Amino acid sequence: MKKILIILLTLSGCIGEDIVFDEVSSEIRLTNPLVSLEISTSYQFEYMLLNNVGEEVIPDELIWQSSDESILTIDADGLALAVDYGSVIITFTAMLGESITASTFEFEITDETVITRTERFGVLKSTSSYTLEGDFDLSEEGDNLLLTFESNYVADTGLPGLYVYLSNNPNSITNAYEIGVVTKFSGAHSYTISGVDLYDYSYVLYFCKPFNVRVGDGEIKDN
Amino acid sequence: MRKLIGFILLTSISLASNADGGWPKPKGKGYYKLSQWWLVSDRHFTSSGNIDPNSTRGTFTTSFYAEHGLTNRLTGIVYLPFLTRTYENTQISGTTGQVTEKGEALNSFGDTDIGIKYGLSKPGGKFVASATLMLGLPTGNARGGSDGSFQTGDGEFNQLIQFDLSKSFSIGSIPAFGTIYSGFNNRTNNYSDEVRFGGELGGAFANEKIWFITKLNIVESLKNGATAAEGGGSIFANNTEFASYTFEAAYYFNKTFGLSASYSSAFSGEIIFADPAYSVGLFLDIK
Repeated sequence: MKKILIILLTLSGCIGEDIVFDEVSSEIRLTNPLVSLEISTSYQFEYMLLNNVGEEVIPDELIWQSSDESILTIDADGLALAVDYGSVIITFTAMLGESITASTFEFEITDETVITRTERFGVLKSTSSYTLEGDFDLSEEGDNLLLTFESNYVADTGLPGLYVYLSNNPNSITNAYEIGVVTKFSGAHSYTISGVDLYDYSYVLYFCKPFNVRVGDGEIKDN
Repeated sequence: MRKLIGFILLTSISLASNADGGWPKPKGKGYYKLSQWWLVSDRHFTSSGNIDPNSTRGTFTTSFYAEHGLTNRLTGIVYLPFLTRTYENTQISGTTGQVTEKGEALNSFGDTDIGIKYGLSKPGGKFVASATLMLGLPTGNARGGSDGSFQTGDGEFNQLIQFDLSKSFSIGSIPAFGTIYSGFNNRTNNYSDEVRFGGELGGAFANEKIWFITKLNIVESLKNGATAAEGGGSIFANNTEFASYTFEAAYYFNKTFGLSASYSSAFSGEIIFADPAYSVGLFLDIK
């Protein structure tokens, strides 16, 4: 009997491999941006470098540059000093192997340091045949984040195992933060998220676990 | 998918060779079959009837099926999927080549069907009408694997009542038969009930050593149960609909022993895999 079972199992299917197309553009971004910096004060910029699958990596080298050193100076560690009033652009360039990733950020030197971006926004869109739509915002609430969906939110109820994530790669949940299984399929609702900062992720991602496919997503933007 | 498996196997009651449709087995006679059924799919019909991709999943079922005449009008039926294997492929990043999710498989007993078929018309009539009651027993695993989505059963007890109307005839010198059927599948545990209907047409060649059979099967969900989302991670367990066709060939090595093979695919569907299913089997047809 045991031999027969072994033969039947041999005749049955073996686990193969699926190739997942999960490439995204590498990205470097500030995780503590500001609107304005008080003159004659310093500010330590922090950043996050993401590789071509949305995984956070440490660069081999990072270069900080100021567009006008008469307004702002910035050292090799990202420590900026406001020298004079005016608008300035910092450029930060990361090198990892042969990959070079750069980004810029513009802000003002004024009489007051203002960090007002405590909220970000987005619009869900379906990337599949399943319904997914609605506006959302991601905001700081004490030490937590609050992900709030507006009353125009609709998700398909015909899909098994639908989960919501925060991700830096809309094609994959590999390095994503799992918020939880979706239990609300229409109307306003919210999720409280702990241990995550406002600029850690760039997408709200809806993903069907059993099918291993993206259902839809919404890019998280500043406005 | 499970219901497609169940349905195809259940309705293969009437197709497996020249056996039956609406014909009950004479007392002491029977049809017995050992078969392998499989489906591998990387796409599915969505709830709106479109086709979307999914990670590759496969199901292989080895089963024993029997119809046995208890009297000349009453036939006992059993379907035993004694080995069902369901698996999902390993997911590999196309960018890094690394494994993003390890593949997984589950081997277990599947859901069993037992039932009776009763001949409503007198044997020897122009048309043969019969009624079948099948009970679907939740002997499989409805929530297997690391995420509960590896299923060899649906976890519910269902009762199918089906009526068949069959007729044998000739097309020139070719012996043939036709059957139409309709049925209602009452499902429990908040699963939606189903209406089923379809038909089949078969003909014999080479002195009835070879039979070719084609079938049409339609399942309509009443969608009066829970949604797929409310069913957690279960795949294709509820609100499944499809219209499918099957081509089957059966070859008799002698009067009673033969080999059959089939190909099934769906014209349309909802919440069901969108790739074809295959089966091969050895049967014993004692007339």
